[in-house]
Amino acid sequence: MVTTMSEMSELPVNAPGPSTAPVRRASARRARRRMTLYGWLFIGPLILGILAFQGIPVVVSIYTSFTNWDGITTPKFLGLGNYVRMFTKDPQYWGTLLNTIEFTVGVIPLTIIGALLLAVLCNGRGKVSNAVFRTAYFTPYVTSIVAIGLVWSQLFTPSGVLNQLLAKIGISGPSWLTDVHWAMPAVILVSAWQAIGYPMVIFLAGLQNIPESLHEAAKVDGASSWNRFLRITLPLLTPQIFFVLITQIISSFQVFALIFVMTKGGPGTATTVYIYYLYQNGFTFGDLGFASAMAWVLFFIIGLVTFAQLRLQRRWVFYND
Amino acid sequence: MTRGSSTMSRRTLLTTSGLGAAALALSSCAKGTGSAGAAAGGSSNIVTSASWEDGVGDLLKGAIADAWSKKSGKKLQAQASVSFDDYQTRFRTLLAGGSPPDVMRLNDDFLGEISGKKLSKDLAPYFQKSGLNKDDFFPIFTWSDLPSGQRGLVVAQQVRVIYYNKTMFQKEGVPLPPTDWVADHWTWDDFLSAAKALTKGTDQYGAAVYSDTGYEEIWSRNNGGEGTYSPDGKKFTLADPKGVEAIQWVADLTNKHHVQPKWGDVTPDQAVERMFVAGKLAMMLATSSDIAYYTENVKDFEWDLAPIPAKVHQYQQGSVVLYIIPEKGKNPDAAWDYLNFAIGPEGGKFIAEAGVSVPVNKQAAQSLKSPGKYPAHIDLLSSGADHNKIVNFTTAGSAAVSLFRPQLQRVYTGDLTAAKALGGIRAQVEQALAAG
Repeated sequence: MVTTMSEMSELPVNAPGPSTAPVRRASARRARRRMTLYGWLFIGPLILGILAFQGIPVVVSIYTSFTNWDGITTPKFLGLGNYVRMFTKDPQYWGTLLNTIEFTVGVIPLTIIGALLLAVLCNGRGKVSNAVFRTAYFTPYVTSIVAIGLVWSQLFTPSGVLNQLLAKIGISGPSWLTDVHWAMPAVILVSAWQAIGYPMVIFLAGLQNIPESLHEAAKVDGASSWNRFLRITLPLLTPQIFFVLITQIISSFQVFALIFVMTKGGPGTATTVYIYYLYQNGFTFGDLGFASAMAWVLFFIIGLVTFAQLRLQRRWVFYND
Repeated sequence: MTRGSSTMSRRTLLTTSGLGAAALALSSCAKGTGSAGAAAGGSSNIVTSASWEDGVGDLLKGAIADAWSKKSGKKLQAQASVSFDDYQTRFRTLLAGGSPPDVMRLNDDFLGEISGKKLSKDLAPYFQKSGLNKDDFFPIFTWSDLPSGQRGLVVAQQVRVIYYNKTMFQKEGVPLPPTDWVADHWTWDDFLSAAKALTKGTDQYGAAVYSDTGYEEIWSRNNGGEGTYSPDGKKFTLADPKGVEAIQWVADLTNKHHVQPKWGDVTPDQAVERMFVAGKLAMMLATSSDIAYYTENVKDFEWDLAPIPAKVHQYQQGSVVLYIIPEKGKNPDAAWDYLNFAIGPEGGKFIAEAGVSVPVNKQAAQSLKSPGKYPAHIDLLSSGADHNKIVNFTTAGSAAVSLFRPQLQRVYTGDLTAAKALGGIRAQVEQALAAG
């Protein structure tokens, strides 16, 4: 970049007289073209990577969604067949969509409220305790999801630690992961526990960005702690809450690994969520066409939800610019 | 730094980078015969393979492969094994990728589909070329000979039996199961009585049957039914009255008689195996491939094998150890050479001596022996091969089980009856079977 700038500085831009103007313009054009070329060369590998590993697969998946391709034999064009089957002939599809919504509705409030609470608790004055607790709460987020799933599966067995603890206070715990009514709440709980660290860090950053003077002024005016939290902290955290809400909803629609490890969609289809069903279609049933169609429908669902959130943010997100 | 030298070095950098990237891309795409090609199976001296992890799979890629290498001068390069469940996905992905390994293990449930789509090589010409005499093999050898061709190779049979804790039986004064495939004192009622006598609340369970999905076929057939699918592979006969009754009987072991661990306790990985090793489980259904695991891990008690309890019949559903040479495999001749060795007297002897399966080669099967002090009645495997009933072929096995097994889980937890669960899913399963 330094050399390029020096090249530009040596162009005859300040040369006087109309006769030198065409020469000056030609040189400037050459320099711009050269810079453009360098720019493309530098970002070329990235562009090629995006095209090869994202652009082309996206185009292929659009085409695949209109075929009955099993990934092995020659695909046969079905038109809208997969989409029609999805919406009208596959009874399990709507069930998985409802399960996904149930998961999202359960996990989002738990994650966001929990993360906010933890962020407030970890934003105290004790530097050591703050660091310890922040690390502790963030650790599950960077721990292997498979390891988390396996450990929680053991805790949730009918004779597992959780039920043994409940038995000590006279409660007969259910068979968490194999009971139709308890499997989804159990998975939601683990998912929220695992994911809580990331929004907590975002909220912490937001909390530390709130000017202390606002709290001091409110204190002088006699505002209670709760009032200060409600009327100063929370409004000033709305940009972070909005960001976390968008990213967490997108992630919850894409939940897969925890379900795969802990319940495999069961018992029955009680925890069969959208991506798990998509995976089953694509890689267990070998129906990549249908799986691609499901992926595109999910893309539009997530797009729609995100668009709605973006439109609604004007009503509740407060940017303290 | 002068302008000129700076421009030169930038050009040099860009030119060199461009040439380097192009060379890398070309070399990556090139289908040469270098090390990359060899790793992909391009060299005729290297055979690549994929399997799931179990006793037989380990032998095939271990001792048998080593012996074949010494004899042939060729080498087997096996992919790291994964669990049975994960392998099903890997199998499809490897085939879909267009460059599958030269030899692949196949879940016997899916031979109909793979053969029907001609995704594996017809081995009949190789049989002829090698002069194989089918009389040298057990009848199961021809099981993979379908109308679409002989596109799978049976290497061995894994016999399903009941593993039992002999010490626990003796301690509780319960009569030991028979040592041969006879129904005498070993009916479903006898099995239930023994399980009841061996259960002690939630500390010790009498039996675990539903942890091995093979019970679906075994219990429904032994109840006088047709098994999971009709002979033409189009009807879901597990939902017939005999099948429903059999499934309910097994679920009742948990929900009515409380002699079987709860479904939630057997679902974690290797939970049943650990219960047995810990001396908390008296009897369980499993394939012979588990013998190696228990030989290594059981330290505190005597254990042995028993036949499947009888009702109308006394069948077992033996899993077939099946291998294919993918149609798109790069090195089919060397792959056949390896598999031909594995089914021969030399290769089969390794399987027999490990005591994990019955090799398909009759001569090799004579070497069958227990790998350790237990089980004492390893000969049950040879005689069990005669009681074998394989699941009827279907070309939509994976789709069908993905539909009905989740419903069976609801029977195991007592949420639904077998009649309601299987009756409710029957239409969908048969739709999948018809589409397959």
